[in-house]
Amino acid sequence: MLKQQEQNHATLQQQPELFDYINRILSKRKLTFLFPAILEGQFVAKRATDSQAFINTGRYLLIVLFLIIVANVTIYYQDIVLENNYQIIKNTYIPLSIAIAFILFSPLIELVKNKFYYFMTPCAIFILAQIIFLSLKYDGDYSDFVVYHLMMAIILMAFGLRFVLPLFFLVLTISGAVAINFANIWDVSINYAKFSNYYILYCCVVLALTAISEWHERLAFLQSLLLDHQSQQLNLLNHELARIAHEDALTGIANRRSFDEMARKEWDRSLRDKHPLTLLLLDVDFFKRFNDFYGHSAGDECLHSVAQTLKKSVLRSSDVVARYGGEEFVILLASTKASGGIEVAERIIKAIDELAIPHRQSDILPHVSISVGVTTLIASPDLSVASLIHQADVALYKAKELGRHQYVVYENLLPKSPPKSSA
Amino acid sequence: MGDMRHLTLESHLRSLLNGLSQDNSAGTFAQNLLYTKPLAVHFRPDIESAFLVKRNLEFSLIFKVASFLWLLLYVIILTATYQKFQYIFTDKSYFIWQSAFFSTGLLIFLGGIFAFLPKTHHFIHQYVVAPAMTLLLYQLLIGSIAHSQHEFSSYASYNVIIAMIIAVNSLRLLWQKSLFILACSSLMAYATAFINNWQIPLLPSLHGFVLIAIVLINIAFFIERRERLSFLNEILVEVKSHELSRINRHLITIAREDALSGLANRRAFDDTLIIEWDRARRDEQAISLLFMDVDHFKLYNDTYGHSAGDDCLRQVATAIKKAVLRPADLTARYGGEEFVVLLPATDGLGAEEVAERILRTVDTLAIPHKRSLVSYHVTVSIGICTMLPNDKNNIALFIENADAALYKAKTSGRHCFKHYMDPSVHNNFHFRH
Repeated sequence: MLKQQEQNHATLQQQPELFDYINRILSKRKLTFLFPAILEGQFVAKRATDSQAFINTGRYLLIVLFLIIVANVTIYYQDIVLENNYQIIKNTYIPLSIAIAFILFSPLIELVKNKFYYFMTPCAIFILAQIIFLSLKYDGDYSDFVVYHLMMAIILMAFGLRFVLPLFFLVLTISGAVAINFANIWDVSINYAKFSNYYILYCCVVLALTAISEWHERLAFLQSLLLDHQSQQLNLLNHELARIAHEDALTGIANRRSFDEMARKEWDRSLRDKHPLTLLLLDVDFFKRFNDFYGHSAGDECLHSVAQTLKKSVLRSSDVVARYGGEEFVILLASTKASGGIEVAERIIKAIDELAIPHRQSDILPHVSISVGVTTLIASPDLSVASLIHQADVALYKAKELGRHQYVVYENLLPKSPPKSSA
Repeated sequence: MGDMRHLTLESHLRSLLNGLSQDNSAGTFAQNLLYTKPLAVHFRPDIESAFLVKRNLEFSLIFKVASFLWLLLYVIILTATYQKFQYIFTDKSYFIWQSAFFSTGLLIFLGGIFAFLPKTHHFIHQYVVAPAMTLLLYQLLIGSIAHSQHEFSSYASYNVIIAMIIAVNSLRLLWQKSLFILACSSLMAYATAFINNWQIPLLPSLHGFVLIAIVLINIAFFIERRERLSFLNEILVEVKSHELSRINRHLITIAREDALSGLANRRAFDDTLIIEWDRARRDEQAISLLFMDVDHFKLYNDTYGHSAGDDCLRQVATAIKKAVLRPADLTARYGGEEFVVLLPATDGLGAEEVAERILRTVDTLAIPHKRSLVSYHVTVSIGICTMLPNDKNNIALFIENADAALYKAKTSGRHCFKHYMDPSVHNNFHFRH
């Protein structure tokens, strides 16, 4: 079943015009009995599976039904059955039973299962032709008895074997023609008035009913394909939505919203584990001037390459790199001590230098550089992520004051030790 | 069902499905049932009633077409019988067959009339079809039992089977109702036969009625089960369509909206600019662009913190939006603390009016800004460019000039606007104000 669904996806995915076709048919509830080849194949395959399921659930019921009929025929119509040295048994009942048994057990045979209608069509024609012939050959009570079972067989074939309408029409016509032909060969006088009532008229009614039910089924089939397609589209869109919601469009790294989310999670984990959290707040030096001098699109490009460089400079997948706003970036290192933060800061400053994006308006260097504020905290209930950011902001401000292109660690700014910077 | 009178069945089904599509639990319910695929598919009440309405609608469609076919079938059987057994219709002893033919004809005739009255179909399907079919089958059944030795008796029993099949498979009744029809009509018929002391042919009635009835009900059950499952599919299609369009709308919004300010974002601005530029060029109308920047925003951010900065940007954005009055004008966040306003079909004078209004509106916000070198509160500077699109200019030049005007406004003390008049609009270009 799953495999079938994937296959459906694949066909629809490859042919978007099929999808238009499906929508057109469904919106008008159009009467159609032949799909484009690729859909028709799947539809017939589905019918074959349904039919096999029907046979599998009803197998023993159908066998009981068949046995009742056989028992009755042997009890009530002994004279007919035994006439001419068991002719009727040898020529009709035994081949008929074999054919019916073949149909009932066909879902268990792999070869027949895969080519279901190639086997069922001749089988059905054989069975029907035999029963019709019996109904033509004998008159009176026994004929009626046979006719009831003919009618039963036809309705079981229509709704149980689930031939598609054109094929079923063919099966009915051929069986009737074959039976009449044999009756003529054996010089049976045919009661055409009865035959047209119990076979022709009856078949017309059954065909009309199967047409209605097949029409519903075809629409339902298209609906299920549409559903698969929609589910897939929905998955894609949801994925896209999640990406857009968490990504900064310009730089391709996480955005502020997604940073807030992840920071909260890491904060909670730190509360539990008592592991230190290290936060780096970064700012591109003299970016305003860069923007004014080189233009907005150059500014955008600069931010993009800086962001990508930052992303490459953190090594662990649990580290969060995000754009915090304008030309500010933030990096959150989970379970990292200050020394680890310093290491990352040094690496980043170096990596940005190596990018060497020209910046003529910078007071300090001929290329774009970056200042970093570093802070480390162990989460506690009276603090929050905001305190982490505030501390990093203070450190960053200090780094700017001290001449930019360097990092400052917040803890070093505290009164107990004099402010210290390193570049 | 009180509103049934105002709605056609089809629109009623639409609205029911629409209602279900907005109900998430209906989707989950359908998904669960489709996953477990139980033998007996039971719906919860709201889905069941929608399913019944759908069957109703299908009956209505079938009724319109099939009433002709029923009539045709009846006429064929009647003529064939009349040709072969003319005496049945004249001999009083065949009263039962005469009355069966008459009542069948009457029912088909009435059916034909009501087929043209779609408003009655709902009622007919719910209350009339089952008893009418029971009576009809009862009549036909007695007909097939009454004169069991007569030749026509076989034909009568064939016709019973045809009627049974039509009743069970085409009237869109629930399978229990079909079972009820078959059981009632047969019980009534056999009771009648018993009271009148008719000889009941055991074997033909077993095979010609009971076994066929079992097969038919069995098939009806499986068909209904399949239809119920596909109805769940239909509901799921509705649910997913609804969700898809919701997500699509949401995607379009967030793709074109700036999350912080709620204004259009850079992408939406770029797209609109191209469209408006082309339109202005076609209509030979001036188009104006306001480029603005919050003065000393960097200092504001450093002083009051980032979240205060975000708040400030949000307020300024709202103020700008308020100052731009026409619906065709586009206000967007260009980046960081920069905003743009695109004014289609606006000349220099109109653009200056808008700029003036923006300056004033932002001033009335009076967001404190201690470290601003211009004022004690937050202010903006604006660069204006007005152009008449032609062969000599282009969009890049348009933006560049607006940016240049903004730069000019900044260098001449901020909290003001500067206007770059393009030669396409005026013969001599100059900065004003």
